[in-house]
Amino acid sequence: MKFWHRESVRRRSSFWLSSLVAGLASCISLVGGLSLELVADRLLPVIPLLIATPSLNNMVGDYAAIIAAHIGDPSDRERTRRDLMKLLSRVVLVNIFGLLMLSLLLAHSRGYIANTIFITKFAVFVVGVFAFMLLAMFAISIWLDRIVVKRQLDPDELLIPVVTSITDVAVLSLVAGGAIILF
Amino acid sequence: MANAKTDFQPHSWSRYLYRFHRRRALESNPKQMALSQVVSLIGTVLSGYLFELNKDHLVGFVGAILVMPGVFDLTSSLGAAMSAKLNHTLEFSSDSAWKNYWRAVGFSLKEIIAAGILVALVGGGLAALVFGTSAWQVVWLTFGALSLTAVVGLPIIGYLTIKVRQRSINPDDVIGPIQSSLFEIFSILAIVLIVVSTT
Repeated sequence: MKFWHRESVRRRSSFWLSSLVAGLASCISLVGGLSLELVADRLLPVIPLLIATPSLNNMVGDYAAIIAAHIGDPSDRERTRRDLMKLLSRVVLVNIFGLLMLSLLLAHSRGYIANTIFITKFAVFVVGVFAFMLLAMFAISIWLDRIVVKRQLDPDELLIPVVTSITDVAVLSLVAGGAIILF
Repeated sequence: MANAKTDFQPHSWSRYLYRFHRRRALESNPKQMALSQVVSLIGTVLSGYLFELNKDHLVGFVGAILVMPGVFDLTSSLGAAMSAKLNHTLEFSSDSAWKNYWRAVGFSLKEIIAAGILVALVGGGLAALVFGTSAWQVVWLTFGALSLTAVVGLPIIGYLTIKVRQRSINPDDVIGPIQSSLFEIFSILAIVLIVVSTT
């Protein structure tokens, strides 16, 4: 009877802890949403940027996974970094090109007329956001990995959620900043 | 006595999510990864398009744009964790696939509701603090959008996980890009539906 009671208490506390961690990670994303809401009147008319925003937000999670998966293997760092560069270069190229084409085409279908200057600014902005995203993730992943190894913590619990949440907020804030400054 | 291998354990969602993404990232070749990114890109651009189509409704409800990233993030990450956990459980479980399916969906729904209460309260608080709007309106919007997205999205992702597995394809290689796009689309539609029905 004691075993079942302990097991039941352990499962309940694990469920609540797990839900709390998931909730807290998502609460951090709300800060990114706050920056978008603050500049909504400047962001909403820029249709290509509006269409691209969920994609930029989503890619943070994908890249965090790729980088975190390759960053922490000390036994084979050179091969790991080579594999990572190979993977990332193809993925980033596909995403940049695809995102630019699709956002501009869909914006055009909604009657948005983009001149050459706008297209250039938009392309430079998207490339800039990607570059920032990757640099930030590398820096945070390497820094976190050192802490995790030093304190003998489990990376499964920390790496992706923390890297994703921090970079998420940063990217959405960049989008908000871009809407005010560039467009 | 509880069987650790067959029971759907309430392990930390991030452990499964980390291993799911790590396995995809390490074992997928660049072409496969690029293809999954194309699928994900098309889905997320579509969700951006839906956002654009409904922006007039969303801008009229203060806090709707604020809560959007939180709703995407929570449903997508717990949906991915559910798919990974279900795939893992099916490898060892002696119970039928559909019994595990209902257990997985039910458990993940409970997790989203529990975590969603926190996200809704924080979202409502932020909206009230910064924009002076009614906190409870934003709390109900967030919680409603999370629940609706989860109730529609989780069974679909669970179903796809089982069907893909039945065709001897590893769901970890296929479900990832699909689930992230689906949850983004469902999140936007859920938020728009609630905003339109309350204004």
